[in-house]
Amino acid sequence: MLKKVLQQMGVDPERLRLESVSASEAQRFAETVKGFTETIKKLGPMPKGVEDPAVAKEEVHA
Amino acid sequence: MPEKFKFAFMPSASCGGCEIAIVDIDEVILKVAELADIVYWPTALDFKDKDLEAIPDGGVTVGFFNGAVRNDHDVHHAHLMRRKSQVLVAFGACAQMGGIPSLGNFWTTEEIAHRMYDTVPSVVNPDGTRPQTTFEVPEGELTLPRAMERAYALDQVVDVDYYIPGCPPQPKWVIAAVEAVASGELPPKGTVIAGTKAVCDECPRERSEEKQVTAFKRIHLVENDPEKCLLEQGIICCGPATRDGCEAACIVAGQACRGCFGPTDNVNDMGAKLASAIASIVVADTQAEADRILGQLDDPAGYFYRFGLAKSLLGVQRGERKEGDE
Repeated sequence: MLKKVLQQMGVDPERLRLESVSASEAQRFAETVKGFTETIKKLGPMPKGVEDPAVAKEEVHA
Repeated sequence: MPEKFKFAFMPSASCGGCEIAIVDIDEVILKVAELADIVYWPTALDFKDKDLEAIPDGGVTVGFFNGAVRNDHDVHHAHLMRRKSQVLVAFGACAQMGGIPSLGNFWTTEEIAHRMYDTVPSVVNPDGTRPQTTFEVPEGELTLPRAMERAYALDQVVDVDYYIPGCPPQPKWVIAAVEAVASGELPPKGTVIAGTKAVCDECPRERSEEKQVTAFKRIHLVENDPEKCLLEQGIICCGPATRDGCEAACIVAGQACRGCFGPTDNVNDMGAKLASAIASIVVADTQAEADRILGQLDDPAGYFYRFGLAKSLLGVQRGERKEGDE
């Protein structure tokens, strides 16, 4: 559901991942974090939308 | 008798319901008239911008602003009201947090215009005619306000002293606000003049300790048990995240809470709080089952931010929207 909310808000749902890793699964934890970091790196910074504060400032103080 | 207070009421991107809420205080309006002169109220009397501009800065004791800030004329009105008013009140859900007009923030202004003037089934507009902000006529130039890229809550544009929530505001809180002004005992700046707890605290429906939902249903498609918590019946109700003070009026009348009073004091982002409240009542053994149940919500973002999209912490980004996304 959160992914759907993000999608509606114009954020790539790939930016959200929920995994449960037990304390004994060190290997899996490392892999999960590494994998997600790579996904985020590949996606790069979020493009600026209209929520860009600079746009807002210009509009409301015109 | 001491000098009378001066009240001003400014509408902007609103439906008019807030103006009705003012007269909804019934005979108390006579007391208001005794207490204060209404120096500006274009909805009720023939006031123009110049009448408000003619008042000295700070000459209005309390300014009530209703509606979201959607076009550049609303921006002008917001700054004008701030300059003229000693105390500025965001009146109603739209002024408080963007309200229904801010649901338009899901789309760009161009997308909204395209829908309105080109693709709505009842529209026939082969030439693609659009309203213009300026138009030359022999008598001179005519102008219309320009829609901005998004709708804003009032406090995203100017400094706001108090908030009276609701869609529309409830008479008892309008009266409470007027009484506070009359007595001179104003609450701390930034106070939302309503309850301090959640709608659930006022709700007369019975609820069990553990909510367990395995399917969500839309309220108009089922008969709901009037004695029992709506959420427990799988009907989305915004009560857990919504400020009380309305005496759960909608729920008593058989409807789910839509969240018009905005978040409670200890909730920062209403949509996030509702997402968490809804997700935590779902009972599922597997991820796939949870996805299936939660997938029954067609428009979670629209539902959770129905009255407050302008104030969501995340904000609509649009930048990563793909073709076909709603």
